[in-house]
Amino acid sequence: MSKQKYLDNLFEPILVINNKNEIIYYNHFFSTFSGLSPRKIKKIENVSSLLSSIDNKISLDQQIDKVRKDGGVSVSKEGLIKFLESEETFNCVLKVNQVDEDEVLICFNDLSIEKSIYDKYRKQVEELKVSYKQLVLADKLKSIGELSAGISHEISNPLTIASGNTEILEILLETQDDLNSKEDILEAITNIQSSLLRINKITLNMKKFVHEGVKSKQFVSVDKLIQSSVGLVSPSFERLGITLTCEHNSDISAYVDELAIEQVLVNLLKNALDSVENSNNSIKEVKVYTSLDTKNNSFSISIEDTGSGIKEEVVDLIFNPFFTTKELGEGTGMGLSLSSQIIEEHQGEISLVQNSDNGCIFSVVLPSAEISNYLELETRNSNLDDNETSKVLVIDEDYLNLNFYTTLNEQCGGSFLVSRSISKSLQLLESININKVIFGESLFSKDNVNSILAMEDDIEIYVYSETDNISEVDIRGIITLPLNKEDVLEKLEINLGVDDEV
Amino acid sequence: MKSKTKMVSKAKYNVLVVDDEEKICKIIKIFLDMSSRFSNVVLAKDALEAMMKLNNQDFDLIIVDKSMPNRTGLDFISNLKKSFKLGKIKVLLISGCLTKEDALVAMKLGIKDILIKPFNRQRLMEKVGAILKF
Repeated sequence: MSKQKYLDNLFEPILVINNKNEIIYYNHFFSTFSGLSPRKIKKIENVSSLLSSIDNKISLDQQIDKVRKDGGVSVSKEGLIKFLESEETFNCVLKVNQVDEDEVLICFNDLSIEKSIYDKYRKQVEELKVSYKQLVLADKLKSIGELSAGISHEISNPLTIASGNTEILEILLETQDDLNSKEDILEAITNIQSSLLRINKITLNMKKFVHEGVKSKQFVSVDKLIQSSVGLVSPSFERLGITLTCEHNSDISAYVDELAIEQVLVNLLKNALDSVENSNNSIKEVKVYTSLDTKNNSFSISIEDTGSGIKEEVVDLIFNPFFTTKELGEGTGMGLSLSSQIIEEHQGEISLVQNSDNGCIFSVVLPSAEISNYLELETRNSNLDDNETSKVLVIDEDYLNLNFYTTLNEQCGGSFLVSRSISKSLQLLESININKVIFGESLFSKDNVNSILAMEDDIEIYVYSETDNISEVDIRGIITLPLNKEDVLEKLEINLGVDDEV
Repeated sequence: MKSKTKMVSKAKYNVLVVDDEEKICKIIKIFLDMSSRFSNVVLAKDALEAMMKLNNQDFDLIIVDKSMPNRTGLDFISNLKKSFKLGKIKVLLISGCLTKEDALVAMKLGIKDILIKPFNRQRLMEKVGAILKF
């Protein structure tokens, strides 16, 4: 009797039948669940007539026969059933087991709610795919990037001609004798130039808006990027017993949106993990390594796995949005597509460089930190301004200091170029007009200063207050640590530009 | 602090300006001619004419527009780099709209610097001066 009390209190529909397949017990919840009254249940002579399988995935008779013959438990597939004289359908799994010599217990696991949610999810994913495609089509011609690039391109030539001519007129007119007409014409020229500056500002603002796709970039150690990405996925690797190894190279730095690149690396590592987990290869390993390409001023991060590779027929599709080789619900298919977008916004490239039955190698190539920083500055600055455009080169290994100056660029209109090495700095000096150089403590030495001055001997040298041996070289100024904006700008004699009101 | 005496080079340079917009070519020529640094500023309206000029004369600097019909500035420079002699000439690329891909291609081609349109005389001379080191 006490056993019955337990079963009565269960929140699962349960039946017990005897060796003649007659229902000898059912709990309260079964009655509610099936919608059958006690009178109707009592009339059922054989449990076979209790329900019918609509999709033929469930056979209660077979399950009962099986457990009676072999003992143990029989769990059905998920299927659609309905009860006697009822139209309501249920998505269920039936579990049948022999509880003693004569009695068999039948338990109903109702998955109707889960299936409903799953169907809704599936429908929403399909709707999302359609919406995305519509968005891409609609956006193709109207995207702000294309619009601003188009406007910028179209008006740049006439702007150049107009501004150039006004400059020439101004010079020519300065040699004229008739002062009255000269003043009027000069005023007109000033007005024209102001208008040109205004148009230029519009295009600059549009360019800046386009580039806001990537959040603010920072100098960061590539090693640190990899370590933080690996840290996020290593528990999954450990759980599955898959080895994850990283080669360290502390010399490579990047100028990137740190979180965005981390997102890319985590996505690639997760894909590698899934590939190795599902592979039959005996070696279960994923490797991460970097390499520097000094000739092309770039570096690469490679992720190599020992999975089964990617089927040739889908290799060209892997970077497409919504493409996935996984079951529905297991992957959105957006990982590589988004990663590709992020890397493209960083002027880099992501590609599958090797694919075989023994695994894949994905490679992310990014421009060197110095080049990335320089390109960003050049596309931001206005070449029509008459403001002093001297550039300050900061040669420092300290990431905090470097990021202080890149942040300062937001306000100073791009006065600071940063570099972590003397050799890269010398490359920049070959073609960029640099007036001042700030040396970080670790890179300050008489030899390094002399190599800079050999490129351009009138460069002003600045150091930080905590630097040693500064008496050995001719210093223009000392910048106090910790860095603060007012002190730096004052010492370097840089005035923040004021916007002209037209 | 010691004062630095700058050694000023008196060399004069030959410059080739390539742009399909004739008026821009003329403006650049006028700006460069105002300086005493240039002995000869030659104009070309496209890559074909530029090649003809390059075959007739030596140049120290090529100022070339990125966007030209038939052959772009980057294609033109890419072709030049195949020649041992012509590939050594320094290049300043001018452009009204520079994409990220263009910028990287330019860097890979060894183009010394990029000048975004519109520009004024001061900025042009700064870039040219930095490349030719005067």
